[in-house]
Amino acid sequence: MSGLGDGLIDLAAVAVLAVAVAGLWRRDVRALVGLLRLQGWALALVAAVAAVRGRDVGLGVTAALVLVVKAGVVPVLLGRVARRDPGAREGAPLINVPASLVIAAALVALAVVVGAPLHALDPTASTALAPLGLATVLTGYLLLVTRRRALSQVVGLLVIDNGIALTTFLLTSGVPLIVELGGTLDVLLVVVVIRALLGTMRARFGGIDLDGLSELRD
Amino acid sequence: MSLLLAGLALGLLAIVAALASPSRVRVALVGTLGALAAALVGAAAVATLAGRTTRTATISSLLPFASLHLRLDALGAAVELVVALVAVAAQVFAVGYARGRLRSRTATVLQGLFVLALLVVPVAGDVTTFLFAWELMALASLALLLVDHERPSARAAAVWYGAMTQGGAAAITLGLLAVVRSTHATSFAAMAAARPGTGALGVVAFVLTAAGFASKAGAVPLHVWLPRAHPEAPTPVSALMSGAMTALGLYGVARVDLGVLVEVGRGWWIGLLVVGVLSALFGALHAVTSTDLKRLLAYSTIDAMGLGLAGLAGAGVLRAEGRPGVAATLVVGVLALLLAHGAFKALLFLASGVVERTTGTRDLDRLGGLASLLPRTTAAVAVAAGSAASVPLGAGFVGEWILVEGFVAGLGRSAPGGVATALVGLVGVALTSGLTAVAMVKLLGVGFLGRARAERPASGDGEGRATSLALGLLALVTVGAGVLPGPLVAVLARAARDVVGPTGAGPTGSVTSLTLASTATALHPLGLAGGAVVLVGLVVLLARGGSRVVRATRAWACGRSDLSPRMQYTATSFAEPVQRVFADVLRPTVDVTVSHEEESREIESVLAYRSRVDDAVERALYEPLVRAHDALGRRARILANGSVHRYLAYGFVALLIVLVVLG
Repeated sequence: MSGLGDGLIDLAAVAVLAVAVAGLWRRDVRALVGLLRLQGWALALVAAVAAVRGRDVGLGVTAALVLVVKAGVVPVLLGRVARRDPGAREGAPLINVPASLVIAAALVALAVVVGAPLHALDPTASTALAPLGLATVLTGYLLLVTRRRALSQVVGLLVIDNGIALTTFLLTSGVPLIVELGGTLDVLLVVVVIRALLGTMRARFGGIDLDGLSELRD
Repeated sequence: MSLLLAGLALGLLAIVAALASPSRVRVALVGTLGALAAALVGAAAVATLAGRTTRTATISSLLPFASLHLRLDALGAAVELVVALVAVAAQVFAVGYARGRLRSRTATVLQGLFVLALLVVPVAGDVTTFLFAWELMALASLALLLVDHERPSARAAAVWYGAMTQGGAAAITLGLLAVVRSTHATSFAAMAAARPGTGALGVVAFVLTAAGFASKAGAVPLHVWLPRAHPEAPTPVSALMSGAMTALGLYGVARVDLGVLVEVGRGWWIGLLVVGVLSALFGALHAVTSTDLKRLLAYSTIDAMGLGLAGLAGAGVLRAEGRPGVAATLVVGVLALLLAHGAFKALLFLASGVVERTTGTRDLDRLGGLASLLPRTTAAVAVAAGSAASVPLGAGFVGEWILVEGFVAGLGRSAPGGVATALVGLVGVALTSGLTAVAMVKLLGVGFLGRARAERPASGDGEGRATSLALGLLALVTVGAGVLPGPLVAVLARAARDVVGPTGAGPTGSVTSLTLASTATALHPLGLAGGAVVLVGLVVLLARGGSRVVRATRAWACGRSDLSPRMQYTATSFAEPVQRVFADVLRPTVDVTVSHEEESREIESVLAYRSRVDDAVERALYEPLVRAHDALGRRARILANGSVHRYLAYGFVALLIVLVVLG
């Protein structure tokens, strides 16, 4: 089990980061939502393996929660928003795709350097993966900053959240269930609020391109 | 100590009562409880001054992270007496005066909080308690200033006051931290025992604390908040701010700079003396030229506090010169001046509230003829104005006389530095007293006596029972301290020993007389009062014995009957000669408008004279500062161009920087 568990965790954690980087590459909003669902599956797998390994019922419940919310509810909600304007493609991002991939590589390197002390604190196999969580957070942030459409930015925000969750699973075998529950509810709330906001934006301006908003400052 | 604690507990109860009571009884209940609380604290102060004992107490459960250390020594008690007196009068006054917003729950709670904070500052035994009470005092008074927040002038005053008071509090906090750092103690007694003040850290502590406390006392150039905030605050609050809060600024200088930082070099004290003298002159000059009643009083506060600051700084210099006796005399003079100022300035501010309520204006050029409308208020104002103008038998005279004698004593047998200091102080006190006398004569003569300069109601309904009681109490203290200064000075000398050290042979006093050892002079005010009574009696007797023919004629008309109110001095014209003499300093804006008759260009129909004295310090120092700050703010808006991506990028870059720096 241990060998299989280690392999599974390695695979899933790398998958979380790989999906985040892939998000930088894809422009189709619906593809981004699909990537988000994939990331939710991978994250839930990490939590589930950690739960089985630690015989931790709470973590198991968390894994189920992650699966339901991050691989189920949230992508479904976002998918509905994305379907409202078919052919919704991200225009040219603020930084073009090759450049943002290079930047992502640099961010991953930075995360590895910065995350090294975390591994040194408690040298186990799973903490060695902690920089992957950090790298996912940074990549998500990059996605958030460079995308023009509000929906893509929501995806960026959720990738950040997934990165934070991955880091906690890897470092401490998950935070207490109640905290995870609170965090998940927050994410759900953000998605619901932004859905409503995007609906209003589309009704008012006929689009969800955020560059138009700069006229709104004082 | 139990008296003090009972008083402070009653002050807390007053706040709770303000929160809980219905609006019908709120003002009366809170005013009575607050006045009782202040009276109890005042009694504790008197007991401490009379009994020569220092009392301490620790309250550990009131604040979450620190315990309150209270310590009532003679210096604290002397200042506490001033605060308690003003607080009692202001609370009693508020019962009869408060209307509208001032009756609201928020305003009464804040007023209770402000009074409580004022009462705690002089008995704070350590740095934490002191700063806590100080900040509470600043915030409560700031909020009270905004009770009338619909007036733009009140809002502007609050902005100035907020900026200055928080800047001052920050300076005081840093300065006290520097002292704590060098003494490894937090209680004032332990700090003083460590004798800090040497080296750069001592100088930093001195400059920061002196600047912070001096800004609270309205010293130039940190005074700009005072002529705005004091007139805009509700009347009882402006009395508390002017009579008690500014006095706490000088208390801070006495407690921390004079009492703790004993090893600081003489030069810094000389600098503070110059600041004090300049403030006194600046305040007095502006008081002479002001025509707004409360603004005049605010500037006169700056002048009195400037004198006090000069006195304390003089004490610092002369103690460093090895003349502790003279230093003690000066400290006693300042403490007596604080008590006198608290009484007469609170009285004048409260009376100006009565005047404004009755006539609807504070403009001295439109007042006059109030003696028949508000007889009790006018009598009280006459007493206070006399005290402020240092007329003998007023409390103000005692303080200024001791100050002058102290500086005179500093002239002899001192090193050249001490002589120069004493000379500057002496000239400053003399010139300031003269100018203050002009301002006070203007206030009383133009504002209250004479004939009415504008239409006004026939009855003075602003003069209620509670308001007159408050004015009467303050007038009584003013006269009492002026006629019987001996016992007061005897106990204040004890407070001065707390500051200067036991070697200072300060003034001594008995019931009938007041003796200064340093200049071998004595004052016998009781004899003077007796002589005055005999003289007045003689005049009355002679008048009775003389002609019995009674002629009724108009008062203040020099026996003529055809004078119109427009022929009287106005506040502007009365001050005009002084304004002319000091034109180079004041730089007034004078505007004469002449308009002509339609038919003939030779005949002038209206001649309007307007003169305005702007605050030169504000114009030269603060306006460029405000402009530069404004420009910087506008420049900084480039950072916020409205792009969501840019704002997100700021966060991202900040996160990366933190990671790189920490990683």
